Amino acid sequence: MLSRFLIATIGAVGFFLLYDQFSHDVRSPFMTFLFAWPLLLGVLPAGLLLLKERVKTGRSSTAPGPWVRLFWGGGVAAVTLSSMLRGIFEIAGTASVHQVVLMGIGIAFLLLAVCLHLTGKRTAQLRSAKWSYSQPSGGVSGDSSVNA
Amino acid sequence: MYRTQRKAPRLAALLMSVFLIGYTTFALLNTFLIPQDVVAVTEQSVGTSSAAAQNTDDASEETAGTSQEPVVTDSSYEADGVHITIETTRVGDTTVYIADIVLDDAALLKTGLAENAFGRNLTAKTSEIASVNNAILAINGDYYGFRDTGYVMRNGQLYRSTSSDDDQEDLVIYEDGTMEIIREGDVTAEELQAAGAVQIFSFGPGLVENGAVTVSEGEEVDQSMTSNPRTAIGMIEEGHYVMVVSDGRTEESEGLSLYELAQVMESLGCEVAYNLDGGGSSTMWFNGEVINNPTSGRSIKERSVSDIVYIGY
Repeated sequence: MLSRFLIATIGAVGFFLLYDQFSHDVRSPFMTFLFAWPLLLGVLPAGLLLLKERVKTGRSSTAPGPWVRLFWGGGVAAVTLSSMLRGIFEIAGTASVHQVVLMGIGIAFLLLAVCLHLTGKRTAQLRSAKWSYSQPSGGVSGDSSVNA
Repeated sequence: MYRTQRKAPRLAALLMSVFLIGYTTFALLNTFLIPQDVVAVTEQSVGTSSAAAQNTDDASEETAGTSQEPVVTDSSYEADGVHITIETTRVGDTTVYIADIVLDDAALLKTGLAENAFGRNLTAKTSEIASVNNAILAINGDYYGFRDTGYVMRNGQLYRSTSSDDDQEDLVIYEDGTMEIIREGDVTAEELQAAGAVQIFSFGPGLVENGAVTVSEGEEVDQSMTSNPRTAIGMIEEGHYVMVVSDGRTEESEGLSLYELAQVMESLGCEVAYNLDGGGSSTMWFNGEVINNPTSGRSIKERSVSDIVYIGY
């Protein structure tokens, strides 16, 4: 996932540089800093997550699930596209409600991803606790208090 | 430890991608291409034109016995009640076209709409709109169709009364031929209509008021930061107007800054002057042809616009 966000960040920079060639020195911060969305919302958290997983080797239970990754990636894509639209509109001297709608969709996806991740962690914790208690005495847990 | 490993359905990812790309594409088409909120020009809205046409008919009847054809040259038009002279000059590294207009009847100062209708993304070249309206002289207008807000009144018909911003400066032309720059936060479009306005343009900013430049040296339109082709209209006195178009974005003409444009209008003696849509839209049409070099930077060609301001019967 980190690689995809890196590609998106580089793509955003490339798009800005290309668009800037045709905008007659008219600029918008939403276009100039288009790369910031995939960088801050994608590369940065993905990189930190990867680092965390490497530090705690074998402990990958906190890694986001596939649905979390889907909605988070979709959210980053939506807010980036929204920023691109706003940049295009501002440079052209117009405006549209559609970029607001897209930003709202992106934020909703991101929040949904967070909720799914937190819910998934809680479920994993409960399952882990249930599995531990269900082990027979002298088993893996080695907890003599269970056998009492 | 129990670990859940489920792969998100590829279908969901595909649907999400299709949705995001599709919606983005729709947003671009809806903003730049798809006509919206189309309102055809009604008879009422051409009331001013009809009155002028009636005046023309009357004048034609009066002069039938001594019909006087207009005297037209490459740089002038002389006829009963209409006196136009075109001057081409250089301002710095830029070619500027100045149309000096004296009218006996202010109703001959009119506006024309692309496809003879009001609506977003309805566009046509300045030359096409001018030809349809039999214009003697025409310049591009404020390209109202690129925005959803800002007062729009054309030939007495109010098409849009939604303010874009309290500080938005509009140019108002009244039926007596006088011009005024107002701020949308100070007056409603309906109040302007009641006060006798026949044209309201919402682009700006105002360049000259009470004979003095009102823009600062660093001021620009929205995000623009460089010299550009420009279009401006001004009033020297009631019945005496100027229309100015400058080239730009070419090796031959760099373009003007907003301040330089204002200085040009002030030097012409304008009491009131107003900036209209510039860049690739800037076009002056006279005597049946485009006389400047409209360009978006890559080639010399007209841009399609929403509306024009013209002199015609």
